[in-house]
Amino acid sequence: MTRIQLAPRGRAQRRSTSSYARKDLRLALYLVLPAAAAIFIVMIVPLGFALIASTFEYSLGQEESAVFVFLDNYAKFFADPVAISSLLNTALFTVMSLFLCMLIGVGMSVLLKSLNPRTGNILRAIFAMPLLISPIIVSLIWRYMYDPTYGLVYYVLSWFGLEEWGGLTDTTTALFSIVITDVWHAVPFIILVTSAGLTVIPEELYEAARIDGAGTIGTLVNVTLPLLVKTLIVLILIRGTDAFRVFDLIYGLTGGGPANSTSSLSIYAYKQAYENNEMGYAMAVAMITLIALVILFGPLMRNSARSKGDS
Amino acid sequence: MRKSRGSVAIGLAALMALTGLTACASEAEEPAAESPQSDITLTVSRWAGPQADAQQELLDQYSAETGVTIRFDAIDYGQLKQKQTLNMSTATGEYDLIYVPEAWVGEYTEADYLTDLSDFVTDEALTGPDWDFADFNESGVEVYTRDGALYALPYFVQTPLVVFDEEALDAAGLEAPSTWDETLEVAKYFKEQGSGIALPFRQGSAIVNIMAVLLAGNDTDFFDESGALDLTNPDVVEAVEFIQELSQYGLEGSNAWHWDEVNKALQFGQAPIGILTSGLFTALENPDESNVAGKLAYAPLPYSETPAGLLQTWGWAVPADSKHQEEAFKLGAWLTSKAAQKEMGTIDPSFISFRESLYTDADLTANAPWLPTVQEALAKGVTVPLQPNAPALTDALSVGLSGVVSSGEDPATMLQGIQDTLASQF
Repeated sequence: MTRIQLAPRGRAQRRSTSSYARKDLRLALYLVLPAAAAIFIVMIVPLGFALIASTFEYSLGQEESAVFVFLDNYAKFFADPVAISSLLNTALFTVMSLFLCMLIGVGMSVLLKSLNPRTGNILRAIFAMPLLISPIIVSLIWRYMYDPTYGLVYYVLSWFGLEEWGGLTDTTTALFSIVITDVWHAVPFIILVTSAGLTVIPEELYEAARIDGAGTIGTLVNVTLPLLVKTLIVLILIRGTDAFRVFDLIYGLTGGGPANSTSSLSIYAYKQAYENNEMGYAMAVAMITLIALVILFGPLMRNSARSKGDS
Repeated sequence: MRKSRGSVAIGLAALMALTGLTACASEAEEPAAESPQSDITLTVSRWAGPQADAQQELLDQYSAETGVTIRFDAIDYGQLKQKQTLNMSTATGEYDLIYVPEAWVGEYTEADYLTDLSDFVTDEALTGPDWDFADFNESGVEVYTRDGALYALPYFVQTPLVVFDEEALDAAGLEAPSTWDETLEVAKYFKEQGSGIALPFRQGSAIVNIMAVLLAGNDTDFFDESGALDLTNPDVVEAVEFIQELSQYGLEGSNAWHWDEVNKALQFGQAPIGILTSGLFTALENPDESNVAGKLAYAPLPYSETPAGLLQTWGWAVPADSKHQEEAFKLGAWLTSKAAQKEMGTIDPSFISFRESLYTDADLTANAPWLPTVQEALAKGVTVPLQPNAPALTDALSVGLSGVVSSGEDPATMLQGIQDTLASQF
């Protein structure tokens, strides 16, 4: 790389440059101000409101009789076994969904890339279909698919003598059934983003790998995945946070049952707010969800924005 | 051609002249009725849910009859309570008549938001001569009564009933089930035949609603006579054991069903018997939508002692800050009059009034054959718990009952657990 050597600047020139720089900086600040204000109002203010509200005990519509309880709502969360099981369900759901989504999504993207481009594009468009359906509609579709009386899932399972499978009605299988639905809905997103990531990997690298005698797995492990790392980190970030906040799918499929076996943090918070009318506690649950997300995905967020030279 | 055009023009002119003369003649014969005038504007707050359109029609009719201007504020259920509370707590006087379910009345009356209507209902000048307060179902009136004062006019009720295919039962040589044992026998028979009873036993409100009715049918309650939580009472345990036994004869998947899935199973004839809420009966009896229209019969939920029904209700209340309390009550009385209620039932057969005389009205039962059964069930109408802490109890029960039917959890242990956790709150 050619390094450009700048000529030493005189005092007058430096003063004038610095004056221009100050003006530029001021202009830049003015230009950024509306966007910064919008972000502050839209993002920071609601967060601040939720944080403050989480330290009060109050009901919807009766805010004037709110009682300040400081951290009691947070203590209540950790003392409630249903809340803890909702937290564990959420973590389990996120791990299972993320693992299956990444495995299937990245696998299918690599497979589609190896096909004839025309066939690959057609299949990619077909596979992308579920992405166009809203989660609540997905849950309604799958609620009927999982119905033991007239659902497609049980019809297929009956071919293998597996019609006794618990599905949504059994506490041991209900969460995994929802994971399958989530994977069906989310994999197209992984395929689309990974496919875009694959297009920027230089073909020469694959040729070089082939010349070096690398097989399919070797090329995948040594060429494709290392060059997709940034894309995969962003995908894990988006899908992981999505899965952790899951609400619509569970609400539509099981409502958190049977016996709370599929209750997630979002479902739990919703129930506290709109069924038990404990708005302050619901806000505390929302804040705990946010903190958990920051702990789990914060390092990835930092990593995804870091360029090669950053320390 | 020109001649024929001319004939058409003359013909049209003659027709117009004739029509004009006829109109003049009828105007001359019948002087135009004076349309009533009023300066009053009433604002009505209602849920924009089922029957809101039919409601609008009736309100328009009232406006035309009285000259009162009505602003109809029909909003989403999720916002309704918040908006009503906000207006009444700040005494804006915005609303004159509000639509309230039984669950909100306790909270509203404790906050002094509502007008005591006890004197209004006996004032014939306000109700009109034919209003007949005694015609209202007693349980419905009781739901809206606090310390002897009536705070809303009972308007609309929903209750779950047993729905069964009469032909299927006849073919099997089975009688219409009434008691717990009879219902278990019928459900078991159909389960052995490959179907079973369709049950809304998903974790949620429906299973708790059913439990409330079963408790009443077993002459017991969630609470003892002093108002303390009494879930370990043997009669309560017995009712939950019945729920567990019945679930064994449920159609496959019933443990994850809500009302809509039960409705589909009955509608398509997959389930010859099921428990369904009355709001969905219309679709069952519609030949365009149902395979079993005209073949169905209805019964109160199974009982061991007395038939009982659930009161999921809406009523009309007058906010204490209304600036036109008497006019608002007049509108409420008109809406709950026999004629207006019959009209609502005619427009939408799933509308069930609290008026006893309408349960056997031939015009209504022709399209709503379940009405006499509703009357039988509501003779002992009960609600789910309505205390301020009730959501915690109903939530715990919905989870517990879900465990009982889906994981085979022991009913007594489940009830004991909830009793231990929540007894101090009631």
